[in-house]
Amino acid sequence: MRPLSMPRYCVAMLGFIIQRLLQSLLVMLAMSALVFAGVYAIGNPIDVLISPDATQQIREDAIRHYGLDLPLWRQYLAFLGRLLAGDFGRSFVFDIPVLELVLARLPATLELALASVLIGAFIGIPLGIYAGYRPEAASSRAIMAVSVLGFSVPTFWVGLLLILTFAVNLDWLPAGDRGPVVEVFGVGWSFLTAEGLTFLILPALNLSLFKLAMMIRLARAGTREIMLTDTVKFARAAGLAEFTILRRHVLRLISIPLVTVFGLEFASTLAFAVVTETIFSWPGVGKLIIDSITSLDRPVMVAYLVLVAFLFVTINLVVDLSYALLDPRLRRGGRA
Amino acid sequence: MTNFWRIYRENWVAVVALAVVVLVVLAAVTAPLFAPQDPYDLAGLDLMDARRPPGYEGSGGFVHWLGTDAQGRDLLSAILYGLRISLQMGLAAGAVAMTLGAALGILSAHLGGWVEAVVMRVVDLQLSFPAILLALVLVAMLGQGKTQLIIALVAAQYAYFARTAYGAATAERQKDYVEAASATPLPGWRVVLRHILPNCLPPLIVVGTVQVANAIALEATLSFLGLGLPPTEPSLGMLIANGFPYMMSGRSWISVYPGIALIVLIVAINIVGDQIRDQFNPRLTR
Amino acid sequence: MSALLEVRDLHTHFFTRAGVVRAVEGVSFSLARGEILGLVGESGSGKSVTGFSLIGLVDPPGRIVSGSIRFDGQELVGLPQAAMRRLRGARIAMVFQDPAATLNPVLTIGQQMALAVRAHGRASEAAARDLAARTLTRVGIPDAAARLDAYPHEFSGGMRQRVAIATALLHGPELIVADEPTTALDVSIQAQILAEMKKLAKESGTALVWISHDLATVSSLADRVLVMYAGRIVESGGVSETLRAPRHPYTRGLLDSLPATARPGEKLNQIPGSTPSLLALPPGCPFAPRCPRADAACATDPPDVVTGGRLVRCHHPLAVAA
Repeated sequence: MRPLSMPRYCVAMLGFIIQRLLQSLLVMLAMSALVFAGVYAIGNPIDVLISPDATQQIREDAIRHYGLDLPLWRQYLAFLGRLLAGDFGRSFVFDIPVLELVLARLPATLELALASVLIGAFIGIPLGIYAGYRPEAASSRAIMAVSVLGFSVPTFWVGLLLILTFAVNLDWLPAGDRGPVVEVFGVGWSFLTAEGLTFLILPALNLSLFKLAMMIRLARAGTREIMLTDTVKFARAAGLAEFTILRRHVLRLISIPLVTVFGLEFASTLAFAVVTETIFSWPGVGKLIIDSITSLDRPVMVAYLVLVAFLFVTINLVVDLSYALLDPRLRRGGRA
Repeated sequence: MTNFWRIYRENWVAVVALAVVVLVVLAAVTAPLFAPQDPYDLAGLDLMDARRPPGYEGSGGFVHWLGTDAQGRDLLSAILYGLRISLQMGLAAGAVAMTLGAALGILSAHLGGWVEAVVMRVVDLQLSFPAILLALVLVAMLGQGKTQLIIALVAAQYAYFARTAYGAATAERQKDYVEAASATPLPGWRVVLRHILPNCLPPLIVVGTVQVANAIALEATLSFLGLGLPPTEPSLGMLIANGFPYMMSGRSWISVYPGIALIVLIVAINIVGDQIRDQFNPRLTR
Repeated sequence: MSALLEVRDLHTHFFTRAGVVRAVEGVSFSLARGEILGLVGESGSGKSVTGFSLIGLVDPPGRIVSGSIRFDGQELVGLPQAAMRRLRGARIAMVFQDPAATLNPVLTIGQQMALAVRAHGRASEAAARDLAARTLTRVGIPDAAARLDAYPHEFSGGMRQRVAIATALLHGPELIVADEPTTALDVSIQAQILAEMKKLAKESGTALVWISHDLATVSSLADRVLVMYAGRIVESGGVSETLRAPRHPYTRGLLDSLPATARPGEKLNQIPGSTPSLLALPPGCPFAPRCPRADAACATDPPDVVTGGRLVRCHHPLAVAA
């Protein structure tokens, strides 16, 4: 098998990217249809568009303005059109455009999610590799017990325990809120100051617990499998030190499935952020959605759902592409 | 079955976990018989007893071993009744999700064609989508109540069962004896009932055990967020949420004890589920 | 001349749940520098486990229970892991059966070989690549320097095995253990690799333990042959005498089952029965149940019969042809 020439390689890669883009577009379309069905079939759509305390006249104007008297498929097209234009309406509670509201809250959630995924990866992968390398050791069993807990214990309860221990009893870290942020490119970040970091630690830890458990489990399973392969035996036969084998061979081999999960987990982290943000009063989109559910701020709910779906699809796409970069066997577009 | 138990017995952690599950279930079922107080009977509550620490003897003339909550409820009774609701929700949601998921999975595997393509595509898409978000949205749309909550939990969980049943059924479909059975004039559904369903059961039971624990955790999370059951029927999640504001002032027991009950139940079910999985998984039996 | 490798009464057992598998049971042999030894047997005969015992890579639950492996005067049994690791790849190297499984699919050839270079001492990036390229050229890979940046899947099976052999040769080892290195390859490629190996071993004076189930390969390559059955050596001797006139009925049976010895159209003479389970071997000769010459005497352990540098472990050895 000769390697493809450069132009042919690029064409194969381009085809792969286009194929994935089309798929993502299709999923987005399906998601928008679901959100449309959810909001329009279950609730009265007018409730999503204007405040419930509007007068009868405004209601009727709005029905005509938004075309709610039109057939369903035309309504869906109109809904799609508004989505594409980024028009999600105005929040009833804050009375500002929903898109503006959500985008203003998004950096806080992204920072939290990123911090927790990083914690999960940087602690979980080494622990998992160790547990997979020495499956019988007592320390490995302890690591696995932690991961079982991380999987089964609900996030909110761990959050409470963290607050109880580190904020109430020890009084080391703040119990909630975001604290000071540093503005970079017009967006505030917590991790840039020491004080901001103290506010970030507990929520990030809380949110990372599930990823940590997941990373441990995956890294362990992968390592156990790879340790039995001839690749490892051959490396040993060449006299490589065990640590080098783990760091260079095993880590690279398990990183392919880990990157996929890492990406997908980042998406689900955004969802779990709902719980963590509520407990720690972290001013992100997760807290916003809970607040808007309790206050029936429906435009915000729609915007949040569409946004999460969009992020989700985008992350899936990025994961697929980075997968192709990590695995040289896929890079030729052969098995894509 | 006796053989199954003999291997199970070797893992004492799993034996303890099983004992805990049985005890908790028994305690929850028989709670009305021995709980010191009916926590739903608002007339029986006295606000003078609110937020008392464990061991306090209240106006009812009995000792609140685990203290009282913000409404003056005996926490021990509230936890026992809360466990009842948590178990009810978890088991009901788990059973419905398992039936629905198994039916969808087996049917897709059996019918094939576009049914298989569409159902499994949706299932896969849903599996990659966080369950909690789906449940959250459904509860937000449907409103509060037991039925609504169960619908939300089922919608969030059926996909796991469908995936599992589908996997087991397709593996089974490829085996010779099913092909042979399909060649005989038995109607298709009898092949499903006689051959495919029994072989899908072990993996479904494993997933089912863990999913009941997940349903309990999910219900607690939703209730904690104030989106679960109405306050008239406080589940464990809501008890924890109610105690949360008092945690800062040092009255942590209101949250901690219901939380411990919740964790013990969930972890015990998970350990039992893990053990069953290990025993069903032929790759691990050395 | 003193032997490079001296194996005495080696026992390697696997402690499984089902019981103790005595994979290697009292194996002894020696190997001179530059000598090529063929280790022959069916799968499960313990030949691979013997090979892994030599470089100290027996996977748990297996371990060397007793015996001695002296390499250039140094005892390897019981040697600390760190000392063993310094020997591996530097003085004793190994080549495996399936090159598709041994090379890491996500690292380039250059990266993997550089790791092997640096396993035994510091080397700059350039020096490591240079050594790798030169060794690849030695094993017959054209345009080696450019191929360093290729991934294993961009090579053919035969080329991959050459890469694996080059990796084993990097530090100029005195001993290479080759575990069925041509089994996974096409016949034409097999012949090339065999010729290449023979040439390399002779050029560099490297001793070779060639493990194979294929008598034909061994006959064209080895100086001496060891035939293993059920963890024991049943026959050994110079390759031409042994294979021309085998003395053990098992060796005879192996030869008779070769396609080359059968006339066209004739049925191959497979040895009846199958290799016994090593979990519960009955006392006596383990080959007796399948042996055409077996009688009551075979219920006791067969003696080692040594004649003129040849060894056979049998109560009823075949007569040496005149």
